[in-house]
This record gives sequence, C-alpha cells and structure tokens, in this order.
Amino acid sequence: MKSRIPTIIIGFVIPMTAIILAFPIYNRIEPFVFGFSFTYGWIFAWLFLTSLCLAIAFKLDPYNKKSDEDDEKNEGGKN
Amino acid sequence: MALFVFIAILVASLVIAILSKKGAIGSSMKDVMVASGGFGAFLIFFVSVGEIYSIGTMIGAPGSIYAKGATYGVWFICYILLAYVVGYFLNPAIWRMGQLAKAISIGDVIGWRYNSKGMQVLTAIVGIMFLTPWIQNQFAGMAILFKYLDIGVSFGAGVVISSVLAFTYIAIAGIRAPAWVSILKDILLVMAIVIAGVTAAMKMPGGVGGIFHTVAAKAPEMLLVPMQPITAGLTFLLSTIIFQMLGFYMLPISFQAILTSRNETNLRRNSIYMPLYMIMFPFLIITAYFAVATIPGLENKDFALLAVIENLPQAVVGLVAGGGALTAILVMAITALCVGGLFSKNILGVIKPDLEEKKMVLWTRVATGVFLFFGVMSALYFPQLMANVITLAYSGLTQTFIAIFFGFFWKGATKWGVGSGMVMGVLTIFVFKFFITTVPFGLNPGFIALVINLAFAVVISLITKSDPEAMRRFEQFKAVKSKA
Repeated sequence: MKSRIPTIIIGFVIPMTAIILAFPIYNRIEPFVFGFSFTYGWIFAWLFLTSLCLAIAFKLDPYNKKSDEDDEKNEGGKN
Repeated sequence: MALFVFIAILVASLVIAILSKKGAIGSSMKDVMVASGGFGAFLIFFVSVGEIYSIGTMIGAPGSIYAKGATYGVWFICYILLAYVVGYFLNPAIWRMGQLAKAISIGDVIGWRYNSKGMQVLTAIVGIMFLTPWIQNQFAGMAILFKYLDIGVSFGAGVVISSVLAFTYIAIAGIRAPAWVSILKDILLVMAIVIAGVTAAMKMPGGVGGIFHTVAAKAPEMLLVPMQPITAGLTFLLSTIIFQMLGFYMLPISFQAILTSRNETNLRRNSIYMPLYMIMFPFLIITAYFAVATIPGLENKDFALLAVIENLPQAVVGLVAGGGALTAILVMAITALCVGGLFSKNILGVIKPDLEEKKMVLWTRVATGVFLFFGVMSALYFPQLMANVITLAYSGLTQTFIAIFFGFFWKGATKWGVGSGMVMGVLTIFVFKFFITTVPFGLNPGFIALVINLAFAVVISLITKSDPEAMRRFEQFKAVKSKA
C-alpha cells in the first residue's frame, strides 16, 4: 500500500500549524483583510484552505482507493 | 405576520418529520438510533451540521464575542474547523469499530472494545450527565429569543410547544426525522445569520471595513487575544481549542451521527465540505462587532444578534424566530434521542440482558420523553441555572476520548485503565467546577482533566492484566483496517 504520510501532512499537519502554531503571528489587527481585522481575515481564509487541504488529502489518501473498491464489491454483493 | 411565519415554519417541520418515516424499514433499535446505518453523503451532512450548529451558535456566539472579544470569536471558529481535520482521520475508524460492535452509541463501541459491561454503563452515565447541560443550553437560547423578539408567543408556551414537537419527531421516525428536518433548519439558520450580517454591514457606513475600523479605533482590545502574560488568554484559548477539537466527535450525538453512515469514504468526503459550511461564521462575526461598535451597553450580552435584526420587517423577524426555535427543537430532539438510547441500551440493557428489542425501543421513547420533561421543568423554573454550559458539556464528554483513542491504537489498554482515567477526568472537572476555581496556567480545566485521565489510563493499564478477548477484538479491528 502507498504511504499515508503525504495525506497526513497535507490534511492534518498543515491546518493545525496554520491555526494553532501560527496563532501568535496572526493575532494582530492590521493589515485589514476584506474589511476584517487580520486575525479574522486569516481564519476565514483558512475555512477555504482547510477544505482544500482535506480535498487534496482525500485525493492522495491510499485508504480511499481501497474502501471505494470495497464499497463497489459490497453493493455488487447486495444486488 | 411574525407569528404567522413562525407557526408556518414549525408546521412545515412537522410535515417533514412525518414524511421522513417513508422508506424506514422497521422500528428496531438500530433503525431508531442510527437509521440502520443507511444514510448516504447527503443526509450525513445534514445530520452532522444539524446537531452541531445549535441555537448557541446563533445567540450565544455573538453574545460572548460582544462581551469578551476575540478570544471567544477565535475559539468558536477554530475548534470546530480543526475538529473536521481530526474527524477526517478519526471518523472512519469510529465507523469501522462501530460496524464490528454493531453499535448504535458510543457506549456500545467502548463496551465492545474493552469487552466490558461496566465501561458501557460508565460511558452512558458520563454521556447522559454531560448532555444535560447541552439540552439546557437550547432552552436558555429559546428564553432569550422569546424574551427579546416579542412575536406573540410567551416563553412558557414556546418551551412547551418546542419540547412536544421534539418528542413528536422522535416518536414518529427516530433519527430519520431530525435528519430530514435538519435540512429546513439549516437553511433557516444560515438565512437568519446571513440576514443579520448583511443588515449590520449595510447599516454601517463603510460596510464591513467600517465596522472593524471603528472597533479598532474605539476598542482595539476586542480584536486581539491578550498575549502578555500568556496566562491572560493565550493558554486558555489554545488549550480550549485543542481540547474541544478532540471532544467534538466524542459528543454522543456526533458519534451517533457517524454511525448512521453507509460507508467510511462518505465520512472522509463529508469532512471536506464541513469547513465550507462554516461560511456563516463571518456573518456572525460581522454582526457581533457591529453590536460592539454601535450598540454599547446591552443589558443582556446575548441580545447582540437580535438587537441587530429587531427593526427589520415583521416577516423577517418571524423567520429568525422560527429558524432559531426550530434549531433549538432539532438539537433537543437529537440530544434527547441520544440520551434515550444510552439509557435503554447501555444501562437498562446491561441490567436486564433479556430485555426484548421492542421493549428497548419503548424504553428509549420513555427516556427521551422524561429527559425532555426535565429539560422543560428546569428551563421554566431555573432559566438561568447554568452559564457557559457548552463548555461544561465538552469538559465531561471529551473524557471518553482516551478510551476511544487507545481503543484504536493501544492493544494493551485495559478496561481498568481507561475506566479509571475516565472517572478521574470527570472528578477533576467537578473539583475545578466547585472547589479550585483558579486553574493553573490559565488552562482550560477540561484539558487538565484530560491529561490526568491520560496518565491514569496509561499507568493503570500497564499494571493491570489485559483481557484476552479485548485484545482479540483489537486484532479484529486492525485486520479490518489493513484490509480496507
């Protein structure tokens, strides 16, 4: 089976770093982002970026390939 | 007009609940609690967002930000966002073990993994105990809604109608009813929040930028988390985010939602979309800071969002009131059903192992009703009984995390280890709640309880003998995992 490490880095390590570890850096008012203070601008940007990270992780995730096949098998079995 | 819209929303929800029964296969325990694990991606999405975004999101979040500033804003958004990240990796494992355990609740999964009826009962007791504040919070939110928006329904009448509706959903179709009603509820909840946010941005000269520039000039401390000393806010904020993101899927209601899924790929896919649904948060933040900038000195901080929308046309006010009430009703329904299941399957079912399934379903309904009834009573007689109840709910419910986590990763974890850890965790919560109110390093008390829980789980597991059956089940779980 392919390694799951890239999935874990992109789907877990990156969002955690951006939100928790980077907090002291983004905890500031200026510059304003889309009218929001910087803290909120950063976090709102990460709503989309986290979703993107998880989408990439999903594509890379070796677990999905296998379980998709399993699903098809199961569905086939039922019918 | 407001009243008309309000009633129309509640009637529509009841119609949806009745229709949701269609296609239900039977009324076995498994069907009532987790729809026989038959939900596809669409319903999984709605059942998960349905129970998490409660009336606390709409009323409590802007209220707390209005009162306390950025610490609360950052906390609410970040812990939910990161919970989805944790969930991407954790939920499929929960689901897999749920399949092996034929589980309908978190109590079943923990009880199965450690081959222990005692763990099943303990998990159920912790679940019921700390879901009580969760339901309390729904009533408290409604109290604020009816008090501020005078749409012609008294609080007392509102509470009684809501809990009767909540019970009716469950009695009609178990978990299927709240899952389908949740579609209506979430559309209304998002509409209400977007309406409030857009109204705020339009009222303010300079729009969103105007709001934040005004606050930055007038009260910059509302936009920052205090960093010096770090115990002034930073340690609390980060420990709370980490603690609650781990606890998110340990809430017995979220756990149950995972078990409704047809397969595990849908759960992973769901985690991708969940952060996008959080797009309502910018609107909540706009609303909260608009109130900070323009409506200082609200007598009750929790009026912040309602004060922004109160002068809108009556139909809109009715929509917000209906959306808010439906949100509260739905979360009540799911929570009460979950408690009913924990009681009848994981407590009563252990005491009386020969309990017939039909009787168990009946007991689930009875327990659901009783739990709602107590909710109503406490809401009517002690409406201000508990402040900050969501935090209390999380502090207790997250204590099951160690048992679940070790269940997946540590073969040698024993029931004595994770059980004593859970008990010590809960005791620590009570100590911090009632005796030591200053928490070391400004940390979240639940976080400290979880560390103590972890320490006990490790040490006691190492010195007690492992149950061979529990280890065999761990291997069985691993085998499914490596095959998948």
